[in-house]
Amino acid sequence: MSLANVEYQFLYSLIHSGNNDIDFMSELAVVGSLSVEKQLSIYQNNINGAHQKVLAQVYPACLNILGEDYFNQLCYFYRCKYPSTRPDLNMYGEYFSIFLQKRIAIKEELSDFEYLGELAELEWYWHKSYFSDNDPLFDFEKLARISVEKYEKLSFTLSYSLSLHATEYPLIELWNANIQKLTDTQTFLMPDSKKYFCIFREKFKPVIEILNEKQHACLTLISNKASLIELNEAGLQNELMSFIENGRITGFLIDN
Amino acid sequence: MLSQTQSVDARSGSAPIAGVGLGLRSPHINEVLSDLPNIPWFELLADNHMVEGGLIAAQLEKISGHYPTTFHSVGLSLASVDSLDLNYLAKLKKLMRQHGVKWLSEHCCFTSVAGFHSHDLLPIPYTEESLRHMVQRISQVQDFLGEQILLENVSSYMNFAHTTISEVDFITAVAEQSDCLLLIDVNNVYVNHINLGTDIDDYLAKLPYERIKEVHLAGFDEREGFILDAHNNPVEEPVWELYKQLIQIIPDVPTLIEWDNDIPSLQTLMAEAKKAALIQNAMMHKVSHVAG
Repeated sequence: MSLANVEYQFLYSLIHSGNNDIDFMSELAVVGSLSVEKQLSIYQNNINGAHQKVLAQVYPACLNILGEDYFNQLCYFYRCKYPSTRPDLNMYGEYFSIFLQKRIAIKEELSDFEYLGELAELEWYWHKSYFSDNDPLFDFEKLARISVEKYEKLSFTLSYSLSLHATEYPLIELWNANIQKLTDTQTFLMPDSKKYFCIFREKFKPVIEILNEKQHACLTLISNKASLIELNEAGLQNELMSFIENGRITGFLIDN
Repeated sequence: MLSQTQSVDARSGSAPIAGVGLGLRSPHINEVLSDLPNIPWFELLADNHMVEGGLIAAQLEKISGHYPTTFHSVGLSLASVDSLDLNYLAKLKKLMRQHGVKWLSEHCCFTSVAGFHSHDLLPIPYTEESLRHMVQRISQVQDFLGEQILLENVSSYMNFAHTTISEVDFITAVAEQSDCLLLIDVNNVYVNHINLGTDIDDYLAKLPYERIKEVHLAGFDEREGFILDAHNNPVEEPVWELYKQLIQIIPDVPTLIEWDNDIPSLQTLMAEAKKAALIQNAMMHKVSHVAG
């Protein structure tokens, strides 16, 4: 068997544990007390363990809600469905929220956990913001030199670490309670209206900031590359200024 | 030749790699940066530091300012038949230049193929085809980096029926044909001896000692029917014995203590390093007496 086939079939057998590739197994020989199945299972267990460990670190609140056994089962199915495609293990688990949402839709035992997809999304962006690049300093002098006629082509850029969220669940309360692993049964009231927040990194530490509807609209428009004129027309000048001052907005672009 | 004490006194990012260092993992970084303990050098898992912002980047800046550092990588996937990930390699190169990292070591294995990453060190059969492939890949990496890398022997639990070359002959041939250096993990040699029946005497007799630039020591875990290279225990006695045999021949080659799971206190790691340093120093004296 060629090196390429050995590698493809080895990795296939690891991603799809339980479906050991027969051709690949025939390439192995018993040694000492290690059967060929045992040889492969050592790697399957190593990989399962490593991936579970990473997902448990990224999604502590989901883990606390689901319990270790069920969470680990989900990790296994997630790994089969979404094998890692990046060398950086810190970026593994990006699609866990989507995976959970699909799972909730088809698994009766998850029907009471319809908020889990959004909770996982919060946890992912919290994790991701920790690893994001440092932001540039906002160049006020350069902005001051831009002529008024270019304002309709002037848009702004958000902090690399910033993500925007909107939810109808008491998501932040749920997250806070579960990352602290509170064991007492707690009741969380559904909010009367949609709640808005953003996640970003303040120096080294990710933080959650509650937003009002207008602030959320402003950051949404900015993330969609709305121009300064459009932001003014939407009456969001104050929000714009405040987000520049507090570092949520870190730069600007002139669309040529 | 630098003793461990001399290298500690000369502690700064620009000092040479000498004596017994530690694999620095995240639970100890704050302690190291606040107390600046007497440790001659640190090896960092490059993959954990390949970010350009936030705390991790700031920590790398400080560590490499105070201590000589090397990078140990797991993501290059040297043996993979996929194209080399040049983005990954470019990031590595940039960080190494930026922080004065002394050298890069990688494993004689693959971790990814067909675009999928296992994040585990997967062995390959040692054949002429694998040899040609590894030589070509390492040459490509070294050309890109503009320097030699260190190739590490891996622990393995897999016995490929069509392997035609012994592990020691394979890594020796790869090193000679690609002109790379070697990192010999003594624990891995022992693990493969127990699990796969590798002949240790043959291994030690055939190693190209002039190419060995670093030695790793770690602990294994006893499992049912095999031992696992788990890096979760102190170095075991038979591994110390093997280390003594190796270091007798190359006493001035830097050694590193690796501990990646169930990570103990920094003091425990330093005690392991001290044990290795005593062996190293004893062998250095022995060699100098013989020479004198």
